[in-house]
Amino acid sequence: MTTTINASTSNGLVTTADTSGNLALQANGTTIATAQSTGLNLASTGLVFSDSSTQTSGKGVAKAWCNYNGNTSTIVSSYNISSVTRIGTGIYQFNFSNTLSQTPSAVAISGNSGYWTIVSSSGAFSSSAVTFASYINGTGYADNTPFCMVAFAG
Amino acid sequence: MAQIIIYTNSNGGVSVCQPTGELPIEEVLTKDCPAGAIIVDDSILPQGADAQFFDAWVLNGTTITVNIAKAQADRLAQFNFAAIQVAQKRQLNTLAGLPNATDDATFTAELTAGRAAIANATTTAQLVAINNPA
Repeated sequence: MTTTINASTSNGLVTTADTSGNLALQANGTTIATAQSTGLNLASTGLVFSDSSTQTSGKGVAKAWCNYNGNTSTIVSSYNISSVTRIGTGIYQFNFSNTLSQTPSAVAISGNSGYWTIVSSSGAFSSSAVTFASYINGTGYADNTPFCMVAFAG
Repeated sequence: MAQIIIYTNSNGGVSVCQPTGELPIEEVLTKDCPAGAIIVDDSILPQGADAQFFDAWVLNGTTITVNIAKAQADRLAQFNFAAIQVAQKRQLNTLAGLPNATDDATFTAELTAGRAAIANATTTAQLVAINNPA
């Protein structure tokens, strides 16, 4: 049970009350958010920004990110990354768990000093994956110590 | 031990796909990898000196071996790059009137010996043990 505040299209403001300690905010009967002792839970619609984009489509929201150690081939942490494929020495493909609605508009990489991180000669960006190469000037492709990838789209 | 996915890539080398755990590995296999890719335990990956020659790995069934000729070529490329860097520094030292650590004959002999050692190596451990020009 939950105490509700509902903006009904037929009855206007409709409220119900119980002793659950939870409060649901509804739009014409559909729960948009629920306040609980553990925090504010948003429904699947999530946040809607001023440009009408949502939490998943919002231009300012990272669509995927990964902290990866190329030296040890270790995935430190990630979001919306199903896997990381080591294609060659210093060449990595980050595969998205959920295909993006479009090819990433911007991808940022931060890596170890002395390494250049460049777009691979093939593949590069797609809505399902991004491919990067880690390069030491003059030496060639080289596995990089922990580096981070963040992809934006919108 | 963790499970990974391996397959022979378009370069003839081995690609290693590591799932993050967001999706089941079977789904990663079909979604992120080409036909023919297989799920294996990561304990099959080459270790030690062999691990340093990733681009020379060759997949045979469920076994990964190192193509020693490819490993020699990769090691030679590394060696030659190091040689060029040292040679450039030596040349700059000469132009600046500064002494080099060794004379030209010694440096040239070092390069010849190093390249011969690479050519004669039969294991990756031997390749790793060869010092770059310094």
